[in-house]
Amino acid sequence: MTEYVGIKVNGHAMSIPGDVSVMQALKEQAIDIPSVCYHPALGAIETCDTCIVEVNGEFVRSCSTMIQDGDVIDAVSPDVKQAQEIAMNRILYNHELYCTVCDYNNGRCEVHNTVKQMKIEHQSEPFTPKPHEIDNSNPFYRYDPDQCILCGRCVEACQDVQVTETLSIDWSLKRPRVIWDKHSTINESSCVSCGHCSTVCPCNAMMEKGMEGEAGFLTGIKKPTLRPMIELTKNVETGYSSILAISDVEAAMRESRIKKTKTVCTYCGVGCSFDVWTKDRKILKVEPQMEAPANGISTCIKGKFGWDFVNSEERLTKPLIREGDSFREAEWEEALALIEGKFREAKDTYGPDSMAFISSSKCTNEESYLMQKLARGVIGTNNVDNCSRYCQTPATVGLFRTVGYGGDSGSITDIEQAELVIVVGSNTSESHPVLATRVKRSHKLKGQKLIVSDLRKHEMADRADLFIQPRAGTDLVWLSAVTKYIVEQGWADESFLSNRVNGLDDYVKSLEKYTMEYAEQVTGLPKEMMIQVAEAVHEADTTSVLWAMGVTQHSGGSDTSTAISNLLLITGNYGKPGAGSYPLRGHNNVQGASDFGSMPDRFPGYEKVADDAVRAKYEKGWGVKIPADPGLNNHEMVSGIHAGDVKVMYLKGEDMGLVDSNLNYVHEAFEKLDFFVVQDIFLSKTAQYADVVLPAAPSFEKEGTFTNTERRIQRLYQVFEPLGDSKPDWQIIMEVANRLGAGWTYNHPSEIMAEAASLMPLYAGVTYDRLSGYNSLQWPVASDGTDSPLLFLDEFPFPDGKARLFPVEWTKPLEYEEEYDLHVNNGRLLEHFHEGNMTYKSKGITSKTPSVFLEVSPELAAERGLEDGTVVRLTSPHGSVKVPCLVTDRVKGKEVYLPMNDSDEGAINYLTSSHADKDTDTPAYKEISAKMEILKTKGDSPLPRINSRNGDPQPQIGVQVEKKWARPDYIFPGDLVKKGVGQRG
Amino acid sequence: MAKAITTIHRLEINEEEQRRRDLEEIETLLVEHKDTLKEFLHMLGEINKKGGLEMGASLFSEGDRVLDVLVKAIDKPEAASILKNGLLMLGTLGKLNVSEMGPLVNKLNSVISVATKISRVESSAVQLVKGNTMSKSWLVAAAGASLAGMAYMARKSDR
Ligand code: SF4
Ligand code: SF4
Ligand code: SF4
Ligand code: FES
Repeated sequence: MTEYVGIKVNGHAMSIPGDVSVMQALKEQAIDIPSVCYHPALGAIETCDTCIVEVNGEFVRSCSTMIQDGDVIDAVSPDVKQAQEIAMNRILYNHELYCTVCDYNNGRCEVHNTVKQMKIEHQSEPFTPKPHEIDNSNPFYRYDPDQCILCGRCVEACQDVQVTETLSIDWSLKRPRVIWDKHSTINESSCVSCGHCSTVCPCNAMMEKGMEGEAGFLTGIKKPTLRPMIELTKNVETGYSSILAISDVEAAMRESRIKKTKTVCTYCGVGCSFDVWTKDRKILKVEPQMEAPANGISTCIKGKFGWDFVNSEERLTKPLIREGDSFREAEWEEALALIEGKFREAKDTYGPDSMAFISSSKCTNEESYLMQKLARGVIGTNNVDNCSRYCQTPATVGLFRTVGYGGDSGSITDIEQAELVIVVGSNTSESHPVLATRVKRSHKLKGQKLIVSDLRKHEMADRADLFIQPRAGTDLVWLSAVTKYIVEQGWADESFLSNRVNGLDDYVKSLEKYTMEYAEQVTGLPKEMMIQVAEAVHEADTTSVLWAMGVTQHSGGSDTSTAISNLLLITGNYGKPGAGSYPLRGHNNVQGASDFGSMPDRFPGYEKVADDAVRAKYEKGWGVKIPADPGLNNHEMVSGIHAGDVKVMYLKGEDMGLVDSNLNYVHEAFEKLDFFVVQDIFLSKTAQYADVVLPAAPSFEKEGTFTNTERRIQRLYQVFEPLGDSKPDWQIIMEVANRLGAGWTYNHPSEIMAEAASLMPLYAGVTYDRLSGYNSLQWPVASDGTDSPLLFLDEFPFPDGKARLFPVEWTKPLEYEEEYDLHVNNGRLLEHFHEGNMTYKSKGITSKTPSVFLEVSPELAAERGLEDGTVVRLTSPHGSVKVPCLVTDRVKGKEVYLPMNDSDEGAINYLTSSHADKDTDTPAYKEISAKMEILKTKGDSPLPRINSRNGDPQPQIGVQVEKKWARPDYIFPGDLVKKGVGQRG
Repeated sequence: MAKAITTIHRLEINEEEQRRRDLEEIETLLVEHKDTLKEFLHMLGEINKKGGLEMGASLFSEGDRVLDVLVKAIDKPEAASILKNGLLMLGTLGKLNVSEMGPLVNKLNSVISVATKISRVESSAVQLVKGNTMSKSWLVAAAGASLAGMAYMARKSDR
């Protein structure tokens, strides 16, 4: 309950909720006071002093002073105004007003707006430049010390929101400035180019380079000309109000020229949303918004700066038709006619099941829906799948078994508030960067405990309170041993178990074999460590477990996911804020692609194809007949081609020819197809095998919805027109379907969603209206639009409302002959997305991380004579790759790590096998061993000096304003006003 | 056997077709911006009649003949972008709905008054604003700004 307090503001008595700052209280009374350094996402930073008011006769910073009962506040007296003006003058001493020719003059510059708000005409201390150069070294943003008002927002964001801990302000300098690491240039620092700093900067000091010279009508004038123009303007203008008036006019005009479009990132399952600022086809900047539900002001390098591919010259702009040894561009009419003919022929000759359809977890929900509708409703086959088969299906299965919904139990905010976070097999800070920031922040500032289980010592492992390194593929064993220990200690949540969970006895019996001794022997972890984990779970009121491909891409991936869920059930960690299971979805729409039925055995909303009633519903809805037997999954499609059963394949937006395992086998399959249609934005590796390639449009060029890892459905709006003759996937699928007589008439993706929502209970209340702007919904969504940010509050979606403990057995990972003596781990790099055909198109990103490399341990390097740049060949029984080495203690012993971001000789999947999770056919990508030969002993390090890994972060909390206050030249403006002395600060 | 291939033969567009497309594009642009263009041309005439072009130059106190420097300035790569931006600015202004912009118009008035204060040909600007619609005065201000910018630039680079 909020307590009300009685206060007096500018002479008026009022009663207001007591748990707010003086500034908030005043703002709620519509009393606007300056607040230059305050940012709602960062809280009070206390560097600017412009928010000074008098409380009970004392001058205080209103942003950091909490309201108390009986406070008497004066926000208008001449003394208060004078104190605020002193503060603002100090800011203008550090910042030159040349708004009309400034790229930041877009109505939101807080220096500009505050000068206007305070009606400042002249400044008492003139602006003087600082003795520091502009830092232009980073490809994405630049820092201009002369314009920096030292508010510290960027530092706060870097230290305590992004938690890369690169920035600080050197308060010891005569003229302080923001510094990177220990005074290195931006590009050579530990900065990961996440863009938080430029997003929160209140002025043009820290600015995205895309804005430079582009945002204004009169900007982009080169310095030698600009300087005299600024001088001239200042000479002719007598006071600030007229300068600001001109620039306001110009800012208003920019509004009609710069388009700001909300979109959703396509680079991972976090689902960051933001405004994209564009001018024609030029991208000026990406600006995340406070109201963005998953990310707020946060982004990572890819979402903030990784969009060059949209305008790449390599984009496909016309359909391609194979003719002999090359493709030729063709018109849509010809390509579609060819597809129609071949599809009809295959269906008539070999039957519908000779055709296979692959949807994409990068495309929209609506597009996935249409792809499975085409397969089931137009062709008449359930042979439809999507690439989450490659990553996350095992997690979905593990959750279906135990708790009934295959999705994250809560929201990112739950992870943020958990007392204990356990990360299993996830390189979160590189694979789900923005989600990781929430954990890093809670861990740094709020006492959250962090346990990490991984093969590699990555950033999360470095930060963890407890880092455990079990043998590859043995997570199920330690998880079960920990669970057993908890049960034995009497730490299980008895009331939760008896009220809300079935199957306890059988489950406990199944744990018998998972003794500490057995677990020690299998996992290599000392018993004490596992007990520490058990104790941590026991001591925390709320535990959230995060996991990713380190768990799922194993022969027992579904079972390990199940074991995680079992542990959470035993300890009552479901159905309360801060607790639950969080399989981190890899692609932006992994969740949605499966939600919308691109699965061989499930309709949209996970209803079973084999269920007569469900099938009847779809048959009625679509007016067609649908086969009852589940179809083939990706993996089975490939063997089906080899067996000669599958003749024709239609694949969209997925580079299966790189991301599936055992590539040589997959490529041979492609070669055997009678007819292969690939729909993509680039001529991907897969497309190279196609007979017809259809040019699709990326997310910036269409509308639709994505569903992120939190089950959150978000809308994307169209930024650009499709390039050339490319088209959004939903339109292409519709045209193909209509050629085959479907008669679909969708004019807009909202109509597709309306149809889908009418058929799938999980999305019943989803409409485009409810998703407008930054609004979002988390499924299940009831038909009245009520959504479910936190699942299982009252019951689990099983007939009796109870969850189910599900006994699981450990599956031994694949074993290799002795000669394959290295275990090859694999995964993502922060800077790149998947096989990289989008992110390598960014010059900036490529300059930071030009290629993949093989991480080798110092031990292995010493043993084999490897150094940074040594080129090696790794060979597994299935193929080989060629890569340069990087020696790093992120890996140990005979463990090597090869990022997946290569489409060439370094592509990891030349090594992987067709061996897969026994329950879902998800390839066991993580179970590879290989042997190594050295091809070239010496070479350049594959990791350039300017990669963030080579930086030297300087952790501290916030901007350390106390150091500013301790400077001999600093006097609190309130004290100056009292003493009536000068204004220097 | 469909081997992986990477060569793409582009659909060639012949010169005539390209020309037809270019012309079509220009035509569309002209039609789209018909009103703005008409207004702009009309305004240029007006400004010239009333000494406005001189005002642009006189803002910078040296009285260069604007048309004269304009021609010179256009050779400079930077000027081309300022000119383009100036024109875009005009285009944008033409599209603004002035009646919805009360507060800004007030600000603009103060801009113009500042401009006239420092202009040697004070009356010309005042004349221009007087008796014209609000929308025109917006255009005038923009034209003034862009012309003045160019004049200034040209003068700089002449030195
Ligand atoms: S990591 Fe770099 S881009 Fe991100 S906030 Fe820190 S300094 Fe800025
Ligand atoms: S660069 Fe940092 S300290 Fe300087 S004005 Fe911007 S946010 Fe404030
Ligand atoms: S890649 Fe993921 S974390 Fe990065 S901006 Fe996109 S959605 Fe956010
Ligand atoms: S807003 Fe309070 S000190 Fe800056």
